[in-house]
Amino acid sequence: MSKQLNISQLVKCYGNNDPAVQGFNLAVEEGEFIVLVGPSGCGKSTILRSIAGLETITSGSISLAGKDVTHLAPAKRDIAMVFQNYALYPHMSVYENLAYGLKNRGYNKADIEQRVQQAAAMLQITDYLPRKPKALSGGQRQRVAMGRAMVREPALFLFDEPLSNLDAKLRAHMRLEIKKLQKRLGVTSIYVTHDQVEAMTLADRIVVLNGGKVEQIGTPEEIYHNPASHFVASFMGTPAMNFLPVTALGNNVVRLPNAQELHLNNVPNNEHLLIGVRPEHIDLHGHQVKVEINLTEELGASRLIHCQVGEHPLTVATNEPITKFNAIAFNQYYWFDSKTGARLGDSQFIEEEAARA
Amino acid sequence: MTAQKQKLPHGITPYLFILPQLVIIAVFFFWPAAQAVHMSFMLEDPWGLASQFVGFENYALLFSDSSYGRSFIFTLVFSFLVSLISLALALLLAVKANSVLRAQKSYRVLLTWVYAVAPAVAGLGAYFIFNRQIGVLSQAFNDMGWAFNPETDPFDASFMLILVAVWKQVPVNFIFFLAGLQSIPKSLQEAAQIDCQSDSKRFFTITFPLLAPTSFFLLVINLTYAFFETFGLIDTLTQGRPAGATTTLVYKVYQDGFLGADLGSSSAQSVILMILVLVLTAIQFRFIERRVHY
Repeated sequence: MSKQLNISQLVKCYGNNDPAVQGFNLAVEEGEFIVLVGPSGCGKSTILRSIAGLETITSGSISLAGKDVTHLAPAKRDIAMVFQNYALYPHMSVYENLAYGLKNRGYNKADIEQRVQQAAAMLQITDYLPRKPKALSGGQRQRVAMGRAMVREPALFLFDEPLSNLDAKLRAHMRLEIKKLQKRLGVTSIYVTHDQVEAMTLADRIVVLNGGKVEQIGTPEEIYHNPASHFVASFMGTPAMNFLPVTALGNNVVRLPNAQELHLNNVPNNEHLLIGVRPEHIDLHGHQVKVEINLTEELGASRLIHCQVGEHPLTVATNEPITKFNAIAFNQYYWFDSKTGARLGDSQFIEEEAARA
Repeated sequence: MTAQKQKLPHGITPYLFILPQLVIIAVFFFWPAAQAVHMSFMLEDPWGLASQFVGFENYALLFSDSSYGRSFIFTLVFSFLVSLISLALALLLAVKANSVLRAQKSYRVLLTWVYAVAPAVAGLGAYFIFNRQIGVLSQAFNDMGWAFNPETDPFDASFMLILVAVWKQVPVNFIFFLAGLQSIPKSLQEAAQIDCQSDSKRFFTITFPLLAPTSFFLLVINLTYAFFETFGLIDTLTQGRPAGATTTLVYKVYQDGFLGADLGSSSAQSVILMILVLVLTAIQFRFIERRVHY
């Protein structure tokens, strides 16, 4: 299968500072939805803007649909971009906004009319075509921005945090719309966000970035069940994974922060050992680890119980109507090196999950 | 839902607050304007001792005076050219300065400092530069085979005035255009970069329309400048020479009233000027402003 987008050894430096992106590689299949996620300053936007041609890259190469586009102008790359603040042309009507890119590419009037009407119908913005952007709500502007990208039928869609200016309810709605639309059009897409929920729900594959480097590339399931590093484990998943520093005592026994000793499986031999447990992987009836309950957050369907193991916080997520307990057990856990942040041990849980399914 | 207007109980205090401003407007605008209208209907003797009511005679005389017509046309052409050239030049400089990455501040300072030069000083400077005996620029024109002589040639004199007036006005326009350019969101320019390959086409379809409110505002400012504030330049450079060819309407008011001591005619000219400005402003705000705002 041919790779639609191929990025190899992309490096971008601003001035004399450390590189914002350090040797980024990515191969994207046709029709794939890739989400770049990471905290601010991780280089995700820089990568997206480099693909768009809005940034000149320091070194590396980018090819799209079998063509090297590394040094092409943005308009020549056959890409369309949806911006965070929509970037609609305020002096043009919605129709003109959609038609502008087509007009400049020499499409004839009838063709433009047909494409604009088709996109408008798909996005349900036909009624707004004669309006100026300032007469539209945030969600409508978002649709117009999508429409402007769609009419061109580009080889690649680029989304730069397109939902972060919307309120929570509309964001969830538009997230679904984007996903549906992308599946329907089958256009290869790169989506940048700092919101891990967006990343998990939208992506075919997620690229987790930190400090200009790739931490992990994988499907949402892989990222969730088999995080490659401490960073990925802490960044992906809500509520976030719990981490407790432990001391390995040999023979698969560790000492917990509350001085309790516990027998666990496959304890790696490491000096700076960190155990990671997701809040939803804790058994309230386990009677193994003593905890003190601090606070309960009621979420309706489930509840978050904030506890303490020695001096360290531990969050438990449960949908059982239990608010009082004093000892728990870890159903699943991960090992990390607290110095390097590296994952230790094998990915046994993935195999267990697979076996159970 | 009915909008209830908030009413505050008040006595004389709010009026006292706006009184100083009202007094200033009344003393420096309404009173002289009323005086001008009054005097435009009078014929005064040169010593200001006696005056008699003559109705519209001052106006009638003006409209039959060919020098007034000439001054009228010169003012229009002069104002149009000064506004157009200084706006175009400032826009070009602002676009270029905005895209410069290194030493952007230095460019800005270099392109703005002229604003601080007083018109009379600029006129004096230009007087030396264009002087037939010692002027550098006169010399240069002569060397190029152009017998430059603003003393006798109306075209040369107008050329000189327009050049200096434009030079003096470019910085103001430059600052406003630069501010306008910088207020266009970067992402908008980038969206346009993806939608449109050609730089010049992008400028005319995106950047320029987005600058339209700024341009309109500047057009009003520039026309007013060319009409009124070029007085200092004209007075130091040509005094309306040769033979009244560079006399603007404002300069003629001064010449006829203060030098010619014909206060009636001068007042009538002021009144016409006032009406002209009113009409111009009304047209601009009524018809143009509606189109430029997005």
